[in-house]
Amino acid sequence: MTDAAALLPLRSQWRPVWERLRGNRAALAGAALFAGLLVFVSIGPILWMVDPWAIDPDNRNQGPSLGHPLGTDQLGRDLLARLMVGGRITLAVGVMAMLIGVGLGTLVGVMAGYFRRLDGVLMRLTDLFLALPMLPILLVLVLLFREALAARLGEATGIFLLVVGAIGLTSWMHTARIVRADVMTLKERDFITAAQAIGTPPRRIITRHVLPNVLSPVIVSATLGVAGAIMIESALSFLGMGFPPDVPTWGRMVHDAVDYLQQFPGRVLWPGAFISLTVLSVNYLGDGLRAALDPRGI
Amino acid sequence: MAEPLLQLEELTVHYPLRRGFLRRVVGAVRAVDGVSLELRRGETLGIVGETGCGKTTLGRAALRLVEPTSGRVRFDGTDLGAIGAAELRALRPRLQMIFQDPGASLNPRMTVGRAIAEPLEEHTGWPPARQAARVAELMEAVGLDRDLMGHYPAELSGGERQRVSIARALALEPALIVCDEPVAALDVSIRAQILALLEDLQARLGLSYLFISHDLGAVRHLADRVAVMYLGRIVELGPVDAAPAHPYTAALAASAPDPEDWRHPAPAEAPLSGDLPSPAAPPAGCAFASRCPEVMAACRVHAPALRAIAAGHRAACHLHDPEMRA
Repeated sequence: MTDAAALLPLRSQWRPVWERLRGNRAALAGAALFAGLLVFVSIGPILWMVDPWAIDPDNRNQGPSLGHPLGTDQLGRDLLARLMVGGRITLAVGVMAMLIGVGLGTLVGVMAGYFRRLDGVLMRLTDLFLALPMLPILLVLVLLFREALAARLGEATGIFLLVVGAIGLTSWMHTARIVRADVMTLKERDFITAAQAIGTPPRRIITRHVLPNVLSPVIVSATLGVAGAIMIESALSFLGMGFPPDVPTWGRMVHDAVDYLQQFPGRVLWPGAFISLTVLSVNYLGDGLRAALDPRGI
Repeated sequence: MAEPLLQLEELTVHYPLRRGFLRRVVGAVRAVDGVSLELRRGETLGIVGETGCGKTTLGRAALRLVEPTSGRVRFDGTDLGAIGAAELRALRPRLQMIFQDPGASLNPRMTVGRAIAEPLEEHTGWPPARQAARVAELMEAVGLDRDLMGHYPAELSGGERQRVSIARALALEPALIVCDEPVAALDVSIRAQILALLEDLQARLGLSYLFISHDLGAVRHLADRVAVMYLGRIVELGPVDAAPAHPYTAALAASAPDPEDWRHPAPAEAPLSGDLPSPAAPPAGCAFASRCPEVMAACRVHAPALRAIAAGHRAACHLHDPEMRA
């Protein structure tokens, strides 16, 4: 973090983390699964060159075959190709919304926990957001800004930013609360007093002493955040308020297939399974990271 | 006589007690209540007292890590309460602190080298190589292997960690170090080593210590003068080898095992019974009256003032007031 650290004969800060992570099978399995999903959605469409938007009325509602390994949907579109392309959006939404939510939550939590004067205001704001029913708010947000953003930034980018922003802005509160509680206990620790005795200004006390020590709850929040954001995006798409109908996201695909659940359960199960696998892998990876980042090696 | 290095004048720290929905102030805990004392250059002043008597708050207020409610702290002629944040920050290198629990006073996510380098980073503007050289020098001065530089505090023993915090406190060549129970959390076998190190550093670097402890043995060993605190006030202040003048000091001394005579344990009969009165509602009269073996009627009415009983020796007790005895 500092120049001095670079020259001091230090062990790499990341080597012991990696060593500990390597010994954690659940975390490795989670990482491998998540990497596999990333490969599936990024390289998959390059190898499986079937147009996910190509409508083929003669081949509607097909079961698995050589031409369509997972079958086709009610418009004859290839399910495998749609899963790959849809995963890109779903994963991007999950990660970006998590970054916004966790970043905002950490900021609010640290400010409220460290500066007593801000605590009251920021925590009442947090309570306010927690008290609001989120799904209706999200629906209203999407309804209000969808057209405006789509007109200004193009449909795809506009909706993407709207969904990511709306989910991020409505999912920071739990992170803020957890971080605030941790910062308040940290503040009473002697090493913060020691830094004050040295004359370290508050902003560097926060970056040097507070933030590294709230890393564990932040990472836990982040992994839960990815999962939560994917779920919310799925819910929005499922309600028809997320991406437009022709854009495949995993949530949208579940939505489209629910009407045919009786006849073609595979069309719900596949995207559903991918959502579950993503959430699961991120949770395992995050839990392993949290443990590995603890210098006490617990 | 030269000006003292540190001077506390009627220093008072009250913590407000808040109750109820509106967080109204309903009273105050008088952690430190009108303490005046001075620390000479190169001297070690011991502060002893029971847990909760305000000695830690006194140490922190002396460095202005806690804002005093009233009273003044003068360091080397400067009133610490009258200067701005920038001036205070410029004085910080000369005022340092060592804490009780070295496990808590070191950031668990910071390597030993970076912890010791933090004051250098904040105040010197030295290039990294020079900082690293100084860190190595400091580690050597406190008896640490420089190979430990890249280790985390959790990988060190308690004694090693306390050496790290001493090295960090020494980094900017301070004039005053407030030692808040620096050996209380350490194994008995390590204590003597750390005390010897503090003594050696004082001789070499001309440091002054405000040495806060409940361990009379450590204070006897290190301090030149001792201030005894009871419920936020100083009840006796005198040379370390003087006979106790206040009944509370006598009781403390009697209950402490004598390090020279460790085969004979402290008397089984506790010289003091009862607890400290609440610092939120101190009794009228002498605060010690409820536990004092030599209590008189006047003690419960009038609070005794600190008065000189010999050269450089003061006590706050009616026993030493000829008028009250009569």
